[in-house]
Amino acid sequence: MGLIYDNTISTAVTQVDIDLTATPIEKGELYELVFTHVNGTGSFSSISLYANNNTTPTNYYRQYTEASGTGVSGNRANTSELAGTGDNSTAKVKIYVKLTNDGKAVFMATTVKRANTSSISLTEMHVSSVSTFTSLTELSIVSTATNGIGINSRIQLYKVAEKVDEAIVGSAVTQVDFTVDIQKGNEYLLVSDLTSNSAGHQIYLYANNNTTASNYDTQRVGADGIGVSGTRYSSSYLMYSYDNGDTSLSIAKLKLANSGLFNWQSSVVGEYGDSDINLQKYYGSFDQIITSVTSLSIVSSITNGIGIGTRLEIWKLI
Amino acid sequence: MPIKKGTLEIGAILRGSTVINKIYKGTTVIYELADGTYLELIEDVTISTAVTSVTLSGFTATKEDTLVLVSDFHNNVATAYTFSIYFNNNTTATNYYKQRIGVNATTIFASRDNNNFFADVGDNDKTLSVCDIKLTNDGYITSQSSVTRNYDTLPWLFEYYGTSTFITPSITEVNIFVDQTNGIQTGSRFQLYRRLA
Repeated sequence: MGLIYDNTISTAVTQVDIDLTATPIEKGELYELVFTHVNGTGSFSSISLYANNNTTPTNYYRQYTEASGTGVSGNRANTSELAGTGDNSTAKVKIYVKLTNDGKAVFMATTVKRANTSSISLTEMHVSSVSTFTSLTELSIVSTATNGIGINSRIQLYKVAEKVDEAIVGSAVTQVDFTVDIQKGNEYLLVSDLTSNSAGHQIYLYANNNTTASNYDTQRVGADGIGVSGTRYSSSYLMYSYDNGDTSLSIAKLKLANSGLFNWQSSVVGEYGDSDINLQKYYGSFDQIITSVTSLSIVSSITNGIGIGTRLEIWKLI
Repeated sequence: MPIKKGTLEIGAILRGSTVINKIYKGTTVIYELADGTYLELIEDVTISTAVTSVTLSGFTATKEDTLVLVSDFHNNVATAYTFSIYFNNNTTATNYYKQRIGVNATTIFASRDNNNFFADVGDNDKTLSVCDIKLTNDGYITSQSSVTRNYDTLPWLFEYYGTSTFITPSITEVNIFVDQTNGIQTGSRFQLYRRLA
C-alpha cells in the first residue's frame, strides 16, 4: 500500500529515472504517479513517460484532448508525450500507470497545465506502448526542454490498495458478474482491461442485476485523432470494444451517491497498443434508488464479445 | 496490542496513533500489512438545512498529501446553481483560475475564467463531483474535478481544473460556496479523504 517513491528535485534536470527493480510493477496491479512539474526554463517543457528504458518515442502512441480557453482540440501521435507546461510555469499531473494483461504499458494522464497562471488549461493524454513487458522495472520522466524538470518539481508514486476481486477470462464470454458491497461511505474503482472477441460493440455496466437499459443514462465525450465528439445514451455504457483482437482499458470510479443513485466515471484508452489509440470518457448513472450495490455485471452487446485474456478488477479505496 | 521490550509486532500502535505497516530488511520490504484502505476519511458532512457555504477544517494537508473531495449536490428547487471551491478561507474568486470542458449530449464547450467553479447542478437535479486536490511543491493549490452533472436525469459530463494564484505551505480549510443564498441544499454530502502514504 501507499507511497513507494517520493523525489523532490533540488537541481533542475532533463530526465528522472524511477528504479523499480526492487518492487516491479506487475500485471494485476494499479499505480498512481503524481507529478507536480515546475518548469523554470524559458521554453515549453513537454514531458514523456517511458517504461523499462525504452525511450524511443515511436514505440508509443498517444491520444490527447485539450481545453484551452474556449478552444477544444484533440490529436493522435506516435509519441509518449503525455503532459507538459509552459515556460516558467507549473503543472499538476496525475497518471494512472497500468501494465495490461497483454503486457502493454498504459499511462492515463490528466494535467492542470500552466497551473500558476491565467493561461491555465486542461489536458487528458493517454499513452500506450507498442512493445510488451513482463513487468515494469523502471519509469523515466523526460523533458523536451533541457533541464525542464525544475527545482521543486516532485514525483510521488503510489501503489493502490486494495484489490478485492478480479476475473481473468479464459474463454470468450458475454457477461462477467461480481459480488460486491458498495455502501455510500465507500470509494471503489473498476478496472476493465478488455480484449475484443468480435466486431465493434458496446460494453455495459449494470448494478444489482438490473439489466434494463432504460434505467440508465450515460454521457460520453471522446477524442479520436483530431475529432472531438459527444453523445448521450439512454443506456449503461462503460466503454466501447473495438474490432476483434483490439484491446482497451477503462478505469472507472464507482460511487453510490447520498441520494441512493449509483454513478460511474469511466476513463478509457481505446485501442491501446496500436496507431488507432483514442480517448473516451463515459459518465453514467442508474436511476433506481438503492441502499447498496451488491453486484456488478459487465456485459457485452454481442454474444461472447468479451475475449480471452480480458482482465477485470475491483479495487476498494476505502 | 501490547509491545514487548525489544520487539515490534505487525499492527502494533506506537504512541497511540502510528501503525507499523511495513518491516524492512535493509531496503527490502519483508512484510507488509494489508489493511485494505488507500484513502483515509478526514471529513464527512451531510447537509440537514440548506446553507450558502460549507467549511471543511480540522486538518492540515501539506505537500506530502493528496486530498480527494467527493461532493454530492442535491438541488430541491427550480433554480440552477454553480459551486466554487476555495482554500484556507481565501474566498476571493479572482485569486483563482479555472479551465473547464463540458459536454451536453453532442454539444461540447469550454471556458477559462478568473474564478474556481468546480461543479454545477440543474434545477431539481443532483450532481456528483470527484475532485483531486493537490498542493504543488512550489505552493499552488490545484483541483481536478470530474463532474457528472444532473446524474439523476440526463447526465452531462464536465471537467473543471482549477488553480490558486497564491502560494501557501499547507491546506487547512476547504471552503465550498454556491452562487445564490442557501443553494447547498438538504441531502448534499461532502466526503473529504486523504491518500495514505
